[in-house]
Amino acid sequence: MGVEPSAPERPEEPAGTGILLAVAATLAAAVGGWSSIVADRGSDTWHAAVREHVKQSAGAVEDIRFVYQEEGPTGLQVAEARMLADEYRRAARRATGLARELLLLEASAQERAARVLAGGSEVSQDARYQDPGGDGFDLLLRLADNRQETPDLLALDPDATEDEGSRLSAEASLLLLCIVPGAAAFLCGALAYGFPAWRRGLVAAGFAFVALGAAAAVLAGGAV
Amino acid sequence: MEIDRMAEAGSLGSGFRRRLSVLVGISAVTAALLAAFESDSGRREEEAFVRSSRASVQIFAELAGSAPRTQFAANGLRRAIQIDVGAGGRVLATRGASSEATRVAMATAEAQSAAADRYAEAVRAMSRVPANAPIDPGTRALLTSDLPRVRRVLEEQNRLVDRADRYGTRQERAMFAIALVAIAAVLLGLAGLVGDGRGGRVALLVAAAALVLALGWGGSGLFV
Repeated sequence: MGVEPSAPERPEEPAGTGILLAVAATLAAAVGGWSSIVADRGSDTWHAAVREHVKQSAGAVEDIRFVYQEEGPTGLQVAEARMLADEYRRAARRATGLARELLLLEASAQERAARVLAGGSEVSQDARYQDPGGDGFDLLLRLADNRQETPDLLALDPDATEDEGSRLSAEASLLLLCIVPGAAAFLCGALAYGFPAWRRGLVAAGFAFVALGAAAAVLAGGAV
Repeated sequence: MEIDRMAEAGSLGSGFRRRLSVLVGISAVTAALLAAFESDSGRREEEAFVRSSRASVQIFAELAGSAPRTQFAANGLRRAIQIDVGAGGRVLATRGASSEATRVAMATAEAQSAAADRYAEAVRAMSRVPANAPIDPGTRALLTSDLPRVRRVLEEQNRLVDRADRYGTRQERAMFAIALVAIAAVLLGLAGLVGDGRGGRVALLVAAAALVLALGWGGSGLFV
């Protein structure tokens, strides 16, 4: 009754096997944890890329809308009044009598209209935006100036952020692959129990796998 | 008496021990491989989702960013035509009236027609996006986007969603395979406890079957 249950049949404990299994498990846990941290950073970076893209696109779309749907049309109204005034005066020089008077009157009215409209249009007030080769305005320069008002949005580079996320993700995947040599070490340790004749070789191979896994993890952590 | 039976049950023959150690080792390697596969598939799925989300944002931004310029040009040219047609209409309206009225209408119409030509040219110049425009490449891409380009981004977005779905399926399969490995590990532990009896052999056999199924199920993810 007081006999140890399996004591008579229990084989001799393989030397170093327990240590090998413990080291292999520790390596797997450490590398797995490391990989998990790197993967989490990669995931956060990817999400940051989406946020950056949304912010940057929304800023650009709003600037484009403002320039081409608010400033542009008002600028065109100013340009129209100026052009009409100019053409009426030109026509007045060729006309006589009542026609001339009416044309000058029209020109004067259009000039007044242009002045009033220009009050509400920044592009027509600033000489920088006047198109030197035409009657319109340089809306692209105005757009560029508008974009410069939010330099933080302009400085965002979602592509680079996404690439950084992909780099971290690749590093995490490589790190996790380094668990496989640790598992192979575990396999050697388990086999050492089942095949006592090959115990020494298996334990040595197991430690070699552990060293390989550790070295690979260090390399993977700095390679990508 | 009970302890004797337990002692008998917990005994491990060398053949049983070998099979057990091999299966334990294989479980460790399988678990490591499946964990790496599952984790990598999950990351690739996330990457595809992130990129497809960015493609969706890009489609919206290109549609919203290119429309104002096109609309500005269309409205401007429509206005130019309106000015020109209005001038001609005034001349026609003076038919039958005095020659003075006709002269005034014609002089006005000439001026308006010339202004309309200049206006149309100004609209074209303001809508143009030359290569040396002082805007950042992202804003330029939005401004100059067209339907074929949006369609290309849409196709890419759909492709990325399909890719995410494929990797999601791989990840699901790998997760189930890991669960099977966990079951196999529990059964192997049980077999080690029960020993080389009928129960132990059954546990060993079922664990081996679970491992084979896990490998098959996890590996099938590669063919999705």
